[in-house]
Parts: sequence; structure tokens; C-alpha cells
Amino acid sequence: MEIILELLKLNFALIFLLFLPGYFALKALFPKNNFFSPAGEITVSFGFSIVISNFLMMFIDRMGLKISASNVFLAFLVFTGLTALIYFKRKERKKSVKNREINFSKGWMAFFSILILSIYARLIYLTPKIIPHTTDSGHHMYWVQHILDFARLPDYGIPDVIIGEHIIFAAIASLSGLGIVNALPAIVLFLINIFSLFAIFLLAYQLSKFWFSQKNSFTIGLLAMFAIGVLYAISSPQAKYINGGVVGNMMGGLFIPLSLYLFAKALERKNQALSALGVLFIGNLAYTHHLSTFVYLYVIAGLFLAFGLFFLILITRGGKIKDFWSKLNIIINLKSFLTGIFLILFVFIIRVPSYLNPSAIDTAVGSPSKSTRTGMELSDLILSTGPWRFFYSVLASLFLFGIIFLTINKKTAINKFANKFFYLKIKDNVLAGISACVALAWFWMIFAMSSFPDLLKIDIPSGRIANYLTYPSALLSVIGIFFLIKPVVKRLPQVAFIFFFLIISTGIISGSADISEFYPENSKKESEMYAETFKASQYLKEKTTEEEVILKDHVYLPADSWVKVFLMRGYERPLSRALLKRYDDPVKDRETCTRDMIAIPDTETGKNCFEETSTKYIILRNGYDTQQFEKSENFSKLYASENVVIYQKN
Amino acid sequence: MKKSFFYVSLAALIIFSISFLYYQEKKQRTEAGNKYTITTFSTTKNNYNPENKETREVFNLLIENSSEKEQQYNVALLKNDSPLGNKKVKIPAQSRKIIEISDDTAQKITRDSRDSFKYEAKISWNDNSRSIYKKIYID
Repeated sequence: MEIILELLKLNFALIFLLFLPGYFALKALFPKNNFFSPAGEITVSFGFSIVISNFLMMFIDRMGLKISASNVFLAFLVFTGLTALIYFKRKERKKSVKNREINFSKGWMAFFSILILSIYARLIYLTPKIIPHTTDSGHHMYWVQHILDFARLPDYGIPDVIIGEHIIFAAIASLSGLGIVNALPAIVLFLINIFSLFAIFLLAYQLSKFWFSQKNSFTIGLLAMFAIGVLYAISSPQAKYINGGVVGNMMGGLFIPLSLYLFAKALERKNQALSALGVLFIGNLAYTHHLSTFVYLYVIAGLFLAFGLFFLILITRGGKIKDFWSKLNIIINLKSFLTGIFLILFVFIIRVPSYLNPSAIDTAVGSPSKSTRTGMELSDLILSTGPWRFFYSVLASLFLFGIIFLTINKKTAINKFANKFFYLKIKDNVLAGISACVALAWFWMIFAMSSFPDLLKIDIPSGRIANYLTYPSALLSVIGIFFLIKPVVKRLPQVAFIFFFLIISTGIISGSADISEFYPENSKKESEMYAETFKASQYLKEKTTEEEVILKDHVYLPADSWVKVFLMRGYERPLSRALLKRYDDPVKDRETCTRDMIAIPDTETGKNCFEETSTKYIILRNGYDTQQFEKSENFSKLYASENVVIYQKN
Repeated sequence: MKKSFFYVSLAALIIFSISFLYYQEKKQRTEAGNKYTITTFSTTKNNYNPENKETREVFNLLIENSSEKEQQYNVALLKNDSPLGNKKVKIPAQSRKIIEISDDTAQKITRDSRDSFKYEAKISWNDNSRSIYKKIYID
């Protein structure tokens, strides 16, 4: 019975916070204009709900109100109620506009089949390791627990974490009353990942509509969803990041394609309000993950560069400035501008993102300072992206340059041939060119950031930037495959089928190449160890005082970063022995006491460190670096379970 | 495909997935928690004052039996590696027990001790054994 009640609370909180606010806000903004397919509507509603949660909670906090379950419930109830009221009032007044999204029943069946496969792949991976234990998740959930304990949004004091990474977890945990030492963090990230798949489907579908028929575009959308949902389902930044608790990246994976989708939709429907919504989503991203925002800003810069070049060439070949301006005006207009002003005012009046300080900006921008930041070799970049995706992305790029060529070309014979051969249906040359620029810029800008950071003045680990190639390469690769297969499908269907089968098989092989790494051999044993660490943390919480200093071991102790979630004595507490390579930093001077107190506790160095740091308790994995403590007369062993021990300095 | 059908199907799929994950986590954590025995001291304090009976708690042990069946534990106490005595304790399934030392026993342990000594408990059950120890300071 208890589990059923908990599930009801969980599902209620998720629907109440992650669907209803966004759904009714979207309906209030566009009461009669059905721009979106059902998939589009629900995906934008989900994203919009996260945006609303973030801004509403920051506003509540700024007003001095507590972030309690009742206040969260009331605030969202009032917001959803108001927007629902506005929607119903506006719906009465406005005439209905027919939804021009055509239903393809078979297509939606394929959509659900791909979704089921995608969910299945993720559940199979996540289930054996669902007990929360990873480093990043521990760090983030510390701040979520902070919000729950103090009923206020925290002043981080560090630029590494941003409020948007924690608000939605705190809101759901608060409203459901379930806490966070359970599957809740993974569930929220799982949902974000699933809706990221929808965002890719929608973006691929939308961009392709500027080149192909609606039916063919839908096929490309499905292929994109397959490429991202089924192939490479486990590797970063997907299921591995769900389990890893890498909140910011996952939010980036949702909001980047979702905002690009809104801009593309705005261009299609000539609706400036959709653009403004896209700008709001970018603003939300800025409050959620600085790295994703940073990457996205570079992508936007690349986009504008591409647009600028495209329009210049168009105009030199007789294109009209009026055409160019009418498209640009859909994206850059008063509504987008006012949304931008709102965001700026929000920063100054309500809350400044924690990373907006000169030292944080200085860290990210500038010449690369370490070997991991000097750019990836092409071979490493290909491996990181996935050889299959990379190859077809390069192929797609050639085809898209071809599209751009067609849009600026005056020679109708070439255009006629290309249209017929590739089944193109370009109605608006400018939009076709713009959408090709979007797909190209998204991929190649990130490629440039990962390969030539010095050129672009980027001082961030190149491997982290390269992770952002996952989504654009999924998009581009299927466009490349479609361009390859489509001409053959009607003309030589059997050949096309064999070709398609070969392509998809190689994709499956490439996408699951490292899958064996990810499935733990002994997940039950690992789960037991996590539970033991939680128990030991609980013991320390009950039996030690706030002032007493504890040292834990990140190298061997399972679920070690969750110790701080139990203790709640400060983000930097307990002290932690880091991975050993961290102590050999060529750029920064690192303290070594946290290493030495565990490795050589009875030496002069070790003793000095104990005195300096006042460390009293050491929590370790049993049998790992415990010998020196067992032999020593300077330590007591206060706590022992099968896999976790706690020593006390005498 | 009707919009309502799409929403209902999607909702069913998502609700099933998240409910499955939540249930699995709870089940695994419960099962993982049904495996271990924890042997600890009931307090991290180290100072014993023979004049103050409350400080006797420094000798107390806390054993948690998280398994699904009652366990019998053999507790052997030692002072500076010399045996003090044995005690057998039965702890029901999924419960913890504080093993207290009587005042007389505490006095007996600290007799002939100067400032401090090593106090150790060796706990064994079935084929397992574990020891915990602390330095006791006499005030």
C-alpha cells in the first residue's frame, strides 16, 4: 500500500509541475493557433513547465516566501489556474485556426515503436544501478536537500552550480514529500532525456519540411529519433548521464534543440511570439547550465555568420533585401526584444546566475591552459561522436551545401534535376537555405570548438565540448542517410532496402560498441555497498557534531559523494580524497593533505595534515587503504560493516 | 491518430516507466539493506569518568541486524588485547540492539589502568567476525 501511495504522490507531482503549467501557459499564449502536433505540444509544454518552475520559484524566493510544499503547491496552482482561465477566455473570443499538421497514423505507430525501444534500452541500463550513488548526482542533490531543509534557494558562493539545476528537483521532492535519496533524481533526468528525443524528432521534422514534403520530413524526424533514441542510447550524454546525475548537460540536451525548433517553427508559421518563446528558453538555459549556454551562444554566433554569408550571396545574386528582412524580422522583433529585456531585468532584480562573475568568465574564455583543453584529435573526436554518426554527418553536410547552392542558383535545369532526383519540395528558397545553415552551424561550430579551441579562445576541456556533438550529429546523420536512400527507394526498392538495412546495421553495431562496459557484472553487490555507505553516513550524522571534521575517500568508497547529502554540513564537507591524478595538476597548486591523511596517516606529513585540518573521522571502503589504520595505535575503529569502516583519530 | 489517443498512450508509457524505476529503486535498497550486520560503538565519545555513571556509555556497543532472520552474536571484549569476557546476544531480524556494560564491569575494566587503554569488541556470528576498537581515556 505504501508504495502505491508514494507512486501516486510522485506521478501527481510530476504532472502538476512538469506538464500542467507549461501546457496551459502555451494554450494561453496560442489559444486557437494549433501550431504543434501532439508531440510538439507535449514537448514544448514540458520544456515550458521547467522554465516556469525556475522563474516562479526564483520569484517566490525573492519575495521572501518559503519554498515549502504548501507554497509550491499554491504558487503553481495559482499560475496554472490563471493561465487556464486566460486560455478559456481567449479561446471564446478567437476563431479557431485549423491545425495544418497532417496525421500519419502509420508514422505515429512507428513513433511509438521507436519510443518504446528507446525507453526499453534506458530502463535496462538504469534499473541495475538505480540506487543513487554517482558523484555528480550527490553534488547536485546536496543543493536540492539544502533547498528542502532551509526552504530557501541557496547562495552558492561558487560558479560551478547553477540554480536551474536544482529547482525542479526540489519542487518535485517538496510537493511529493518523497525526499531525494531514491529514484526521483534519475526519474526527472530520464524524463528530460525522453523529451530531448522528442525535441530532436521535432527539430529534424521541422527543418526537413523546408526541403521535402511533409511525409518525407516526418520520416526524417523518425529516423532522427531512432538515431538518438535507440542507437547510442547508453553513451554520454544519454543514459550514462541520467545515471550520472549530469543535470546541466541533460538540460542543455533538451533546451538547445527545443529552442531551435521554436525558431524554425516561428519561421514556418511567421509567428514572432514563437521566437520570443525560443528566447525565453535560452534565458532559462542561462539559469540552468553555463557550459550549455556557452556552447549555444557560440552556435548562435556561427548561425548568424552562416546566415550573414548566405544572405550576402543571395543579395549579390539578385535576391531582395525585403525577403531577407521579412525572415529576420520573425526572429528579431519587438516581442523577442521585450523577452530579452525581461530576462535582463530578472537577472538584476530577482537573481543573478552564480557564474556571472569575472573570474568564472575568465576561466572559460581565453587561451587553453591545460592539455585537455587544447583541442581533440580528429580520430578522438570521431570516436567520441561515433564513427557511424560522424561519417553520415559529413555526408549530410555535403548535401546541405548542395541545398544552399540550389537556393542561390539561377540555373533552373540543375534545380529541376536535383528536385526530381532527391524528391525535394522547396517552396521558399530563403527558408530552405536558413534551415540548412541551422543544421550545419549546430554541428560544425561545436566541431570547431572541440578541435580548435585556441582559435575560438575557449578554455574548457575539449572532451566536454565534444559531447555536445551527439544531438546535431544524430540530426545530420539521418539527413545524410535520407539523401542517400531516397533517390533509390522508388527507383530500385530492393536495392534501397538492402542499402538501408546495411546502414542501420552498421549504426546498431557502432551505437552499441561499448555497451558491454556499461552493464555491471555484479550490480547487486554494488547496491549493497551503496546502502552501506548510506548507513555509515547516517551514523556519522547522528553521532558526530557539526564542528567535527570528517574525511571520506572518493577513490574507493562507493556512493561517497552522497555522504554530504546525509550530513548536510556544507558543500565542501566532508573533506574528500580526490582521484589521485588530481593532485598532479600542472597549472594549479593542489592541497595534498586529503591524500596524505589516508595514504600515510602515521608519517610526519600525515600527522601535520591531521593537525592542520583537525580531521577526526575517516570513512573508507573496508580493505582499501585501511591497513595503515588497522596497524596504527593512533586510530580507533568505531564502525564496521562488510564494506564500510569508520576510523577515529585518537 | 487522435490527439487524445496520443496523449493517453504517451502518458501510460511514461507513468509505467517512472513507476517501474521508482519501485525498482525502493526494492533494491530494501533488499540491499537486508544483508548486513553493522557493528559499532553507540557513541563516538572516548572519555570515561568513574565518578560519572553516564560516561559508561563509551563502552556500549550497537549491533544492527538488517537481515530477515534472528541472529545470535558472540561478543568478546578485550582490554589492551587481553580478554575481558564473552557475551552472547540474540538480535531479532531487522533490528538493532545496544549492548550495555554494567557499572561494575566498567569499573573492573578500568581498574589498574592509568590514563588510557585500548578497548576492543570482537563480534562473531555464523562464519563471520569483525572487530571494532577505541581508545578510552580515563578522567
